[in-house]
Amino acid sequence: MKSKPFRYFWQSIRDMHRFMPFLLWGKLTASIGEGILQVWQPVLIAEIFGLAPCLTDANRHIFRQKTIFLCICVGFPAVCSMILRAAGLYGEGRKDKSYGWNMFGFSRGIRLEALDDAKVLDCFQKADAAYSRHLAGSRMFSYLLMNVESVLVCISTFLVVGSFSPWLLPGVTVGFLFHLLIDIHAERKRTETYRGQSMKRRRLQYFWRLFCTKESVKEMRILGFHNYLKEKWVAANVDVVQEMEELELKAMKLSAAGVLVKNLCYVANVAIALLLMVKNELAAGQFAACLTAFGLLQDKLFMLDTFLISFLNSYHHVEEYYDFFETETDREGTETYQPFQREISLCDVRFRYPGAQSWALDGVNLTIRKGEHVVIVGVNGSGKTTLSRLLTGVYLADSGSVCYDGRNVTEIRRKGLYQDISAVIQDFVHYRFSLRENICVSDFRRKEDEEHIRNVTDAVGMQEMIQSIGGLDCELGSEFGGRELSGGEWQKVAIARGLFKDSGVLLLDEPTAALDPIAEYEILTGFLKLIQRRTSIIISHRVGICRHADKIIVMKAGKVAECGTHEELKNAGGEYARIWKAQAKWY
Amino acid sequence: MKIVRNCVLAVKLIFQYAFRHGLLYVLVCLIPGFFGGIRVILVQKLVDRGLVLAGTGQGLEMMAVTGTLLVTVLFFWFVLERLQGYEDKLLEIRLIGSMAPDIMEKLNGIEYSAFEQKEIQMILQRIGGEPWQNVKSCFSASVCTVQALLSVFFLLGVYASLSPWIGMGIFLVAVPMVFLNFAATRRLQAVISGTTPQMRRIEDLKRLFQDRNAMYEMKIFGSQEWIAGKWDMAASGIETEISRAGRKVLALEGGSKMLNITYFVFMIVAMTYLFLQERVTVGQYAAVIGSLSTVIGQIQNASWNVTNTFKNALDMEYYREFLAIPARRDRRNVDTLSHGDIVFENVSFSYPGSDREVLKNVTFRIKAGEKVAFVGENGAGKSTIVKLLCGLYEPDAGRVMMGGVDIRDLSEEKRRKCLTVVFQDFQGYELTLRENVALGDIDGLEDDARILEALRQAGGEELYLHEKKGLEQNLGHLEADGKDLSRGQWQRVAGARAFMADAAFCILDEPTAALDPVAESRMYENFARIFRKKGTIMISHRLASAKMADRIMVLDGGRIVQNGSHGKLMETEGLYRTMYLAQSSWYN
Repeated sequence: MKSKPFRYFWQSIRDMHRFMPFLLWGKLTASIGEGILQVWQPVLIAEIFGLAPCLTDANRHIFRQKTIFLCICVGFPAVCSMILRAAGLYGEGRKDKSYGWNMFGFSRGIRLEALDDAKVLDCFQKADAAYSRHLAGSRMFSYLLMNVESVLVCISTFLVVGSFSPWLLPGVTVGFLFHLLIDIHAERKRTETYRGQSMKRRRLQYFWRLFCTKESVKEMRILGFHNYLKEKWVAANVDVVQEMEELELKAMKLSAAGVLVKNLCYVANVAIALLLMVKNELAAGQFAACLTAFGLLQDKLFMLDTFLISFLNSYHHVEEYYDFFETETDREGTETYQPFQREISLCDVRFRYPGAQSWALDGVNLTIRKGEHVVIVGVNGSGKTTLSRLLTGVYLADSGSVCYDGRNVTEIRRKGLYQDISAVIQDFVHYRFSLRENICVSDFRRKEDEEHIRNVTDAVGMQEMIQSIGGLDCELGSEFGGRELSGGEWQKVAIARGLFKDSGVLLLDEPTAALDPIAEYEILTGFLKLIQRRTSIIISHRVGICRHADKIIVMKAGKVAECGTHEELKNAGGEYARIWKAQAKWY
Repeated sequence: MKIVRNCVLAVKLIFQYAFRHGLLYVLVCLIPGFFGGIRVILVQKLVDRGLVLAGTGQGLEMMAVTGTLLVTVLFFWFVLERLQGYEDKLLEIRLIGSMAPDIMEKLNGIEYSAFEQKEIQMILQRIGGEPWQNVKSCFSASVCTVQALLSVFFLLGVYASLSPWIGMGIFLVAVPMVFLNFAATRRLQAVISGTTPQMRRIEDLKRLFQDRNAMYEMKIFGSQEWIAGKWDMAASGIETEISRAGRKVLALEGGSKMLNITYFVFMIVAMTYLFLQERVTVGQYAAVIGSLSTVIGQIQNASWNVTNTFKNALDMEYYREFLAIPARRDRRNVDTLSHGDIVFENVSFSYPGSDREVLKNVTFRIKAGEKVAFVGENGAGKSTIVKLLCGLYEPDAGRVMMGGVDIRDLSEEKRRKCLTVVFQDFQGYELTLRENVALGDIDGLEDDARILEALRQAGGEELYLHEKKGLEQNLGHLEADGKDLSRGQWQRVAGARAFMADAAFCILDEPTAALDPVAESRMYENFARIFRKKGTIMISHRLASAKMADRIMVLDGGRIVQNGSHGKLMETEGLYRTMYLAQSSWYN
């Protein structure tokens, strides 16, 4: 993909103005001031040196004046650097509130399917690092200013030298350009190699983390594959390292050549200056000024070199940050959602995960009437969870339609629709918040509604647990010094979360997988009562619950294989009967 | 003190892992430190001699020598500077190669229980990044600081040689400057550590937004705004904290800068005065005034370097803590057993850092080849028994023995012969299907027949039957062609690992939680056949699995309350009967 270079440049400047104007303008002002003084300094020094050897009473006051200017020239950068420092601190403090917030706001609208894509996640992480670690926008801007400043100083020095004698110019130019081009070339090669290695690096990083993560360490020790992974890591690392070493060596050699050329030019210039002085074409003071200017030029060129490369690097991070905003977002509908009165219907729905070859859902037709309790069963990979995600409208069908009372979900404003849906998803989230927040996250406006919380926690048998951890406001998750819950306890929290939101539709995906038989029995019978008036869709491998369902949907290879009540399907002798028997025979 | 200690540690580590490059780096870095000062002297000489030459036509050779010297110095300056950049990269490369394996060994030697401790988890999280980077940064920052200070002092020394006044000024100014800079850095560190809780909160929220499950929940629950509020709070907290404390930092740094300026102004004035008094030559005057911007740059560079070193040294603290984590205490050297039984003898256990006793005086014996099931409510201590059985933890009291030997004293190979485990939180690895299965017994990596058989037994044959690449199919999403498996499919892979291993006991913790009823049933049927001669220890909420066991042990509140076969336990009123009836009521 070839894209326009620097296409995000103006956007990043605009964003900086929006997010941290102080930083933008402060830096700009300080840089302009500093730049002017720095440009002036070589001129000033040349003038002072010009005056110094031939001081008379007549020009003494000019000499004094110039010296005072020089003091200002030297002192002012320190003041500027304080402004820059303040701006830097300000930027550091605000980055999460501005750049982070921007990303955060955008990521809300990202299509859920996109998060299944490794590339999107990679993009996410890069953008995150770009702003939080590399301070994308502000750093790019700083380097830009530094470049401009250095260039200006170089040019002014250049002109000063040129004003003494044009003979000095070629040496300065050639040495500088050669050096700069070599460095840019080396940096290009470096970035190229790094990018080429990104896959390998990710793999190395992945292996490395395995050695530090408790779950994998546990298996590593018991099954004894520590050495296998170690060898794999070392072998993969050797490849990457060798490539890098070769690259660095080549860059080093080239760069040495650059330095050599630059210094030869310097020698030539000193010789020319000397010659000119001997020929009396250059005053002694000018000769001194020349040597100073050459020295300054060398310093500045070296800096310019570094700044330019840093600028390109930081721009690269800016690109990474803004690339994230190209991620596909939700396709929103326009109609307001009216709570459905009759049915949810799926008509010939097909769905495929991004990058997958086969259909996850391959022509699904079904109807769920309001108030029905539906159980979806089927073997692993038959498409149950995918179906549930299409039902709620978080995934959109590739073809066919999902309709609420005949209105296609693609046309409904999703936010309104979600207000009528609650869910206990299979891999529910362990929020590192308080227990209360973990439950009330499903409908946070009611988080002070103690009675409602109590009803819900009673239904899932959590009272004892709440007491033992010290109340609803106990923080959970050890990362922030809170309590750790066991798998079964978390599952209860997740069910309570799903029940807490008073919605018309309730979706439960494997709600009891981690519960012991008694808790499972109590909770299931408890909430079957609680959700009497709500439409519920339960996905479960525990087919026992099907006897309490109004309708059972049996999924097989992305299609609805059967649909009916427990008795009907059991007697029909199809897929359901097979699944039922497989489980029931053990009891 | 911490800073110096960590810098010393970094230097020690560098010399331990990359001696040659470390030494080279020090040389390459320190030598140019003198060049700034030398340049001032040479420029001064060159100007003075040039003037003499222009005036009298004398001393061309001397001038040529000085000029050559100057050019040589400049040449080496730049070359060495480049070389430093090169050595810097090379050091990192070398460190990865030599330090990483040592870290892996150290990790392997840490007591497993440490991995579950909060403080150590934080350290390990950092280790999971790129610890060599920190070590290298700390090392190079220390060396660069020494260089920068050396260079500044040498340069100022050269100035001082021109006039004792200028020399005096340095010490009057430098001491408070360093002090102010140090105070500013300390304060900045305090600010940063003050915002750590908010930073961690933000990191946590970022994690939520990258997690598709969390996004799913957030969309459905409309909780994004609320969570965004948490973000806003944390971000604002950071902003206020930094802007509040930042002022003090700025004031301190400003003070240091003011001293800096004062000194320079003093120097210019003094030099001009001395020059006008003709106590310094044009050359000396030109050299000092001309190098002013260089010296300013170097002083800035030095103070930046000092700050940077502080930061890097403090940042390396975790590595010191990592090295200080004690190694495993188990002996791991016994490899002869007197019999094949597993014995728990009066075992009591509570997790480190918790006062809740999870197991209370548990005693049982599992005979070689016996099939046992542990049953109990959530939190009864079942999974803890597994962890103790594997020797991952040391019991607080009592002993866990295999064949009469403490399980933690068994050699690794022997223990692997004795038992294999499928944990409840089994992992899927971003490797090929072949590797994923063969991790159960890595010696069988090339044994296709065994791998396929293990997969078949675990009900995962469709994983390779339907794949073009068969066993070489990459799993997970690290590779572009990787295939993401569902939880149920991963569970089959994890099960296959257990079938790969040829161990006397197979421990299965919730092996069917994610399996569909058909696969679950097939798994149960297979167990009896596959583990005909071997012992199994099964933990499951699916009591059907317990029914097949020779013996069921029921745990309640960390004690074994019932012990017997399914038939026997069903005859007596008790926890097992209640549980079984609760579950079977769904089916009849």
